[in-house]
Amino acid sequence: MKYAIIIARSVLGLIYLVFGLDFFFHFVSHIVSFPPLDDKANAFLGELAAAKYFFPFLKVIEIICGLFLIINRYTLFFILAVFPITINIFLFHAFLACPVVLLGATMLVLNLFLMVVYRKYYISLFTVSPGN
Amino acid sequence: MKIVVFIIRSAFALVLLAYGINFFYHLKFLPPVIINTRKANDVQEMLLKTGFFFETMYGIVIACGFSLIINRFTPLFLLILLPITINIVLFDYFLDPDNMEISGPVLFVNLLLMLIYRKAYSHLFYSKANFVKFNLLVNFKD
Repeated sequence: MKYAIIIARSVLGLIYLVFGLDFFFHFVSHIVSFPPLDDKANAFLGELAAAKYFFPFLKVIEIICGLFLIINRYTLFFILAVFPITINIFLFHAFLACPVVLLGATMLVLNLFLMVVYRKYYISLFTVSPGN
Repeated sequence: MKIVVFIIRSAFALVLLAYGINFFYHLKFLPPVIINTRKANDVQEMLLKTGFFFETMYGIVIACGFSLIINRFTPLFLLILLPITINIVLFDYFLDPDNMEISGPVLFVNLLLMLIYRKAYSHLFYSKANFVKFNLLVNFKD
């Protein structure tokens, strides 16, 4: 179990770190080639890139989260912080970029697995009716 | 204090519910959301065309509004709402600054309510956490 957690954490952290750094330094396309996306997905990404602020903001968060997941500090917090990003990557892959849906699904499974493993620390979030 | 929190929470919940339901069933009493710049309009059109984005987002917003109005699982749903409000504010700040008057207060109230319920988030900030032994029964004692 311990090793499963270490592997899940490192793989998720590595995916986020690599794809986060790739936005600024463009090195992944030299190593592996992904199947081309269809027009709808490309138009979607193009429009988000045209918004200027969106991708730098996203990728900086991804790099920070990836780093902290790899060195295993504040893991609880950063798993929760990347969870919205993971959900949106999965939705994007599932609805618009079907060729790489396996990547999105893997990330979602890893993220959910880690959250289940550390669920003890999230219990306080599920307070039904908190006092002030 | 209790009454102030109640008023803030209920007003916030009503705003969330109104704008959430407004996306699916157009409500006539709400002032129309005006987009001032072409760029913001383009991005929004694109997001509408995906067919999943706004449906998911407003579904979550309605769930948050409902939870806040009945005051059940409030800290959890405030946390779920936070990424959405942050992104709305970023969108408005960079693409459509005139709409900041609406979205700025939304983020502010969201953060204020999280500050009020901060006790629920205290366990998230452990530097080194031990994983829990894998059993499906959760131990509620600690």
